[in-house]
Amino acid sequence: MDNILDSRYKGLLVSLLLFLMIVAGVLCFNYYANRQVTQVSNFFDTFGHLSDEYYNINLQTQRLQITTDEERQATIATLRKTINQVDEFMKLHESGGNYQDERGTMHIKPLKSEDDLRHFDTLKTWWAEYKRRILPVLNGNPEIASVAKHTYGTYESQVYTPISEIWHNHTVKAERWSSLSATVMILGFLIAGVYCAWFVFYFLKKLTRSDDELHHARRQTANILDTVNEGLFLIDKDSIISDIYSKNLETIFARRDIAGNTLIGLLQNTIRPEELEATELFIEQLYNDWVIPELIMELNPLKQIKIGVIDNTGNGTFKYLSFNFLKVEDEDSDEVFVSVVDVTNSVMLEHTLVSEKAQHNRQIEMIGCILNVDSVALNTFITNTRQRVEEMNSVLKTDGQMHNKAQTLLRKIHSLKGEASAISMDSFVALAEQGEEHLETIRNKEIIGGNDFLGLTVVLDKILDLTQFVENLIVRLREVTQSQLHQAPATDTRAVMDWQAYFETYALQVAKRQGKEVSLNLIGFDDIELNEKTTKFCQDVGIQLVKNAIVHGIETPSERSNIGKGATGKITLILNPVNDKLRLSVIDDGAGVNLDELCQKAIQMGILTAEQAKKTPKNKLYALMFRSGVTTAKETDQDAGRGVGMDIVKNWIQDMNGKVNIESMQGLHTKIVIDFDGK
Amino acid sequence: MPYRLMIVDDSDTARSKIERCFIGSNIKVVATASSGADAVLKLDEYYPDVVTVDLHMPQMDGVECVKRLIAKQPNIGILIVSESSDCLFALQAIKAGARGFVKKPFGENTLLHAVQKVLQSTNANPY
Repeated sequence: MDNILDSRYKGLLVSLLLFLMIVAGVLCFNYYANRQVTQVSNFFDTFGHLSDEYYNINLQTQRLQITTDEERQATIATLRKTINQVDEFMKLHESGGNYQDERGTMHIKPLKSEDDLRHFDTLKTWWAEYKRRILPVLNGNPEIASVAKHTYGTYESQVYTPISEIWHNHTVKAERWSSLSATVMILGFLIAGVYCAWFVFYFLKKLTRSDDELHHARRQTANILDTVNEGLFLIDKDSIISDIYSKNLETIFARRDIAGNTLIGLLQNTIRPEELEATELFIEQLYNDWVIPELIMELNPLKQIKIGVIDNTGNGTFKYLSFNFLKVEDEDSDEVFVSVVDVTNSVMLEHTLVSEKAQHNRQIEMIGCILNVDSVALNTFITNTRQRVEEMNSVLKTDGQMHNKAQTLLRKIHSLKGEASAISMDSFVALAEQGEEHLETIRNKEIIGGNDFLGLTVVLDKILDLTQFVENLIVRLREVTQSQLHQAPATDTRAVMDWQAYFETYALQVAKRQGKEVSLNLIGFDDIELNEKTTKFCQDVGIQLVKNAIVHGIETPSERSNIGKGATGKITLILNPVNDKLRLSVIDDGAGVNLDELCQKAIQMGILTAEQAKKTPKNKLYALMFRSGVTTAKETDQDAGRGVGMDIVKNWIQDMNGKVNIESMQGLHTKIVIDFDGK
Repeated sequence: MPYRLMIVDDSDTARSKIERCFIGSNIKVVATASSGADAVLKLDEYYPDVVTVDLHMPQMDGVECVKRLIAKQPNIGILIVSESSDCLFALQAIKAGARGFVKKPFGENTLLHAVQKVLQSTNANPY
C-alpha cells in the first residue's frame, strides 16, 4: 500500500480521480437534463390534450347553433364531458399532479414561470367566463347565439394565444435542455479525449524517462564492471555465476565462458582437490539457515589461493587469487556477492622479500664464516668442494653397479660434509646432509634406477651454486677489506697451513654439539713437508678420526668426573716419518672401543654370526669399525650415525697404500695408527 | 539475568582463556567440559544457551560433539573455537550445526562479540 501511495503514483491516482469526477458530473447532468426534457414532454402531452379540449369546446359551442333538437342533447352531453376534462387539465397544470393514460402515469409539475402564469390566468379568466355563459345553455336555455358569438370572438385572443405562448415557452425550454445536454456531452467527450491523450503522452514520457534512467543505470553499472580492477560477481546456492560480472573476471580466469558456469567448475583442475572440496562446502554453509556468514569467513578456503592457468601464449602458469564472499542479506534475493583480486604481484613480492631476507641472512652467515675461517682452509675447501662435485658427477655418469655407485657417492658427500663442518660452513653441511639422506634412501632400495639419483643431482647443483656464491663473496670481501684472502693462492696450501687451528676449530665445534669438552694436541705436523695429496689425506682422515674420537670415545664431562678422569678429554694427533712411510696417529683418552656393542651391531647386520664373533681375536674385531653401515651411534645427527665415516677412512688409506692398526683399552683410551705413502 | 555458556575444550589453558573473555559481560559460564562426552552429559544438567566447542579433542572430536549436542538440543547456539589448520574439518562442524568459527588464538572482544552474535541468532532469552 505504501508503494501505491508513493509519489510516483500519486499524480496518476489524482488525475484518475478527477477524470472519474468529470465523467460522473457529465452523467449526472445528462440525467438531470433528460429528466427536464421528459417533464417538458409530459407537459406537451397533457397540455396538448388541454389545447385539443379547448378546440372541442369552441367547436361544440358553435355546433349548438346549428343542431336539431335531437342532436342538441347529444352535443350538450359531449360538451359537458369536455368541460369536465378541461377542468381536470386546468387543475393539473395549475397545481400539478399525476396523469394517467394508456402509456402509464406521468407527473406534471404546476406552471411556474411568470409568463406562463400570466397566460394561464388569461386562460383561466376566459374559462370562468365561458362556463358562466354556457351554464344556462346546458341547463336548457335555447339562447345560444350570444354564447357562441362570445366564444368565437374571444377564442383566438384569450385561448389560442395564451396556449400557444405557454406551448412556445415550453418548446424553448425543451430545446434549451436538449442543446445544453448535447453541449455537455460533447464537452465531456472532448475532456475525456484530451485526458486520454494527456494520459498516454504523460505515461509514455514517464516510461521513456524511466527507460532512459534504467539504461543510464545499466550503462553506469556496465562501465563500473568493465573498468573495476576486481572480479565481481554473484553466485547462487548452486554456485552458478550471475550473467552480470566485471570484465576483469575474464582476465583473472583467462576465459570468457563465465556466466552460467559454476565457481566450482571454473576452479576445477586449477586448485587442489581438497581445496575444491572445502570451497564447495564453504559455499554450501553460506546458505545454511543457522550459519552466521560473517562468523565463518575465517574458514574461506579461497582467501589466498594459488591457481594454475593457461596464459595468452598457451603456456601453463600460475597466479595467486584472493576471494572474498559476502552474503546478500535481502528478503528478495538469496545470493552471495563474490569479489576476487589477482594478488600474484603482492604475493610474489612477499616471496621475493622472504627469499632476499634469507639470502641476506645467508650472506651475513657466510661473511661470518669467511671472516672466522683460516683463508687457506677456506680456499682449500672451495677447491676440494668443486673437485668433489665434479667427481660425484662423473660417478653419476659412468656405468656401474648401482649400489656401489650409491656407496661411493655417499663416501664422497660425507667427506665433503666433514670438511664443511670443520670450517663451520653450515649451509654446505645442510646440503651435504640432504645429499646423504637421498643416497641413504637409494642405498636401502633393492632395485635402483637412474632416476633415483635426480634428487642428488639437484643437491649437487645447489652445492655448486653455493660454492660460486661463497667465491663471489670472497672476491667482494677482498675488494672491501683488502684482507689476507687476497694474498693466499688457492692452490698453494702448504705455505701457511695452520694445522692446530684447522683441527681445533672443528674439534671444538663437534664437542660443543655433543655436549663434551676436548683439548687437541698436535705433534709433528709443522715439521714435515707435505705435498698436496698428503695434506689432503691428513686433513680428511684427521677430521674423521677426531670426530670419531669425540663422538664415540670421549665421555661427557660428568661421566669423566664420575670415573675420576678430568672433565676435558684429550686428543693427540701425531705425524711422524717411519721408515719410508708417514705415520698418522690419533690417540684419545676416552672410553675405548666397546667391542661387545660393535659385535652386536655387526651380528644384527648379518656381517658375522655370534659364533664367529666369539672366535675372532680382539684385534681383528676392530676391523668391523671400517665396515660400511656399522655404527654404534643410537641416532643419526650431523656428526654420526650413518656408518660412513670409517668406511671412507678405509678407502682413503687404501688409496694411499696404507695400513691401519687399532689399539684400545675399554674405559681408558683408543689409539689409531695409520702408516701411508707420504714421501 | 545472564545468558548461559558452556565451554568444551580439552585444554585447561584454553578453557580458562575463554572463560576470561566473559568477565563483566551478560554471559555467564555455567559449565566447562574437557571432552565431547562430558559436554553431552552436562547439557542436560546446565541447559546452556550457547556452547563453545574445540575441534580437536581425544575420543570424541568436535564434529561428533556438535552432532550430539544438536541432536539433544536443536536450537542451541554452537561456536567452534579452534585452530584453523584443517579448514575442511571446521566446515564439517559448521555443516553439523555450528553457527560460527573463531580461530585460536583469539582476542577477548572477538570471542565475546562472536558469542553475542550466536546468541542473537538463537533468539535465546536470558533467565
